[in-house]
Amino acid sequence: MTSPAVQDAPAPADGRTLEFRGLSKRYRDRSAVQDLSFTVRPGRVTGFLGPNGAGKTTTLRMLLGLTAPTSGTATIGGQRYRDLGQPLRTVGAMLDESGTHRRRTGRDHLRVQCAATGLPARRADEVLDQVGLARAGGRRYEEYSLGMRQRLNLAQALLGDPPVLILDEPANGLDPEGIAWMRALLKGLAAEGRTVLVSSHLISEVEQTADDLVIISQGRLVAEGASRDIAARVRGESRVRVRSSRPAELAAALVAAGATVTDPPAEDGPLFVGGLGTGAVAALAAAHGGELYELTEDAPDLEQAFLRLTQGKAEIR
Amino acid sequence: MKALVNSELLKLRTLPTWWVAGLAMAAVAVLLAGWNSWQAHTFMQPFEDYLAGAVLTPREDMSAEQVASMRDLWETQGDPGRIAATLYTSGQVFGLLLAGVLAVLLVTNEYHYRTLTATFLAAPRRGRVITAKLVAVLITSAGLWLVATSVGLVVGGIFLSSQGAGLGLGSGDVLGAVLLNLAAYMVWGVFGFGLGVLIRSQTAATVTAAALYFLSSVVVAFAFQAVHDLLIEEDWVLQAQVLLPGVASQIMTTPGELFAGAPAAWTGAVVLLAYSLIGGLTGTLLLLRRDVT
Repeated sequence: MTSPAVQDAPAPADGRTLEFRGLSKRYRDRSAVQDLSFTVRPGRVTGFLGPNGAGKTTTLRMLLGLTAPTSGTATIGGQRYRDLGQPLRTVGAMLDESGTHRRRTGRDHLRVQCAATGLPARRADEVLDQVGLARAGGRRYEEYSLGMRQRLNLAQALLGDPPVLILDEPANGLDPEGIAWMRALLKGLAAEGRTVLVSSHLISEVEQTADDLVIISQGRLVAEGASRDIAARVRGESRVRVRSSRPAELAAALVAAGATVTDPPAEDGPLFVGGLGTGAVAALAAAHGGELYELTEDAPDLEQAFLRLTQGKAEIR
Repeated sequence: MKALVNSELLKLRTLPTWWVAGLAMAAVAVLLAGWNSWQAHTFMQPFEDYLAGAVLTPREDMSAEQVASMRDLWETQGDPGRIAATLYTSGQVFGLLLAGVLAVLLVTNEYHYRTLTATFLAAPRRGRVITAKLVAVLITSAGLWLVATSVGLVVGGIFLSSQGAGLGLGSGDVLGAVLLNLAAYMVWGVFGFGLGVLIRSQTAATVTAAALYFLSSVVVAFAFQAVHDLLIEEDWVLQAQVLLPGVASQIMTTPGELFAGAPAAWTGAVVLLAYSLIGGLTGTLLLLRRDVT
């Protein structure tokens, strides 16, 4: 699914491109991820979308070496996570379920990670400042709100100033202001040439931020490409919604003009017309008389596109 | 590797656990060193004074055998080396358990608070993390030993000086007992580590450690004695008690024989280390393969 937008992207910088190749994970009685292949490029925000239970977290955890794939590979710049010399300086991960001892302060939690990677302890204060937790750093984790915990999680991801960022549902628990802040931060990080992969089950969350989208459902790839291409593909399926005082005549005229009319009109219900623009529909309606009550373009937004793409596959397994 | 060990120790130092454990260790060591001093004091008196204080029966009503057996006890317990060794290892009964429990916590905290993800993200080579944890456990155990031994040296030193007795620090037996004590702390640390890696549940692992530690009581001795007397009249039945970690620990650290026909001290250490190895290795192999959730 090559698109002009992808070709515009900067050439894959060394060590920054994420490659998923034939990745599968089977649990005893079910398949969580099946033969998943896609590429995530640097310098862009990539939205990783799918309904709950689609296998997003499992995929990310396989990339990070926390879960062993049944088959296939997931690599960072061609290397497995566990083979990275300095993982935290290469990949920063913010995972949904990452925990902290409740009696440990946020700053101490980060310092433990610093010590493990040989980063200077002052990095803990720097990233706390970066995520707006400078004053809360000395407080115990148990006193943190959900939003603060997310920010601490993000701080942990930023600790090694990594060129690759993996964020699993980062907007969970954030207030609208926090979400806006997160979006701006992610865009800024991608603009610096970093690889930013953000998972979400809500397309509205990443719609404004993501340059690329990877959509999965039931552990399988559904769509991959630039966001605007996916949006355009969906808009190609747009319909015109029209209500007239003489629906039967109008429907016949539309069909005669080569349009598809989806819903056979009820007494006073709208017609959904495919294959013609609003202008053409209006002209036909005028030619066949009757009063026009409504005429709108029924263009599905990304949310609807997402729902359509993952339709019927959203049941929790 | 050094960075990982530092990180493990920092995990302990950034929680109240370390000073709570340290203070508890010091307090118990002070109490027990005081108690040991009091005990030592009775045996350090001249025999006649000791006898008068220890037995209610007037001296002239006692048989020669009774007096001889009391003199035996007075001589064994009053041995200056033994007294010094007991004083300097004060608090052991509590310290070994604490070393085991701290090790359990160091491992199970990762599961309990879901920090294993962060730990393995920072250090994806799990074998190195586990080794670092084991080193941290040994250091922690040695730290507890240092607290207890310092208290024992101070309280015991003051007591011995007040009695006009030597400190016995030049004696090989005394130093041997102090070092054996260090080994015991470390062995219990490793034992707790093995339990923690294997069991993972914080509560279950802690309770198991404590249960195994205290399973050295008279009840156990009685049970083995009963089997020996009623079913199988062989010496190995009694010696098999060493297979219980608590008994193994006591056999390892008690000067002389814990009970008649008890196996040598080193068998206790071997039994505990064997358990630690089995538990630790099994747990480690599982941890290396298992997905982190």
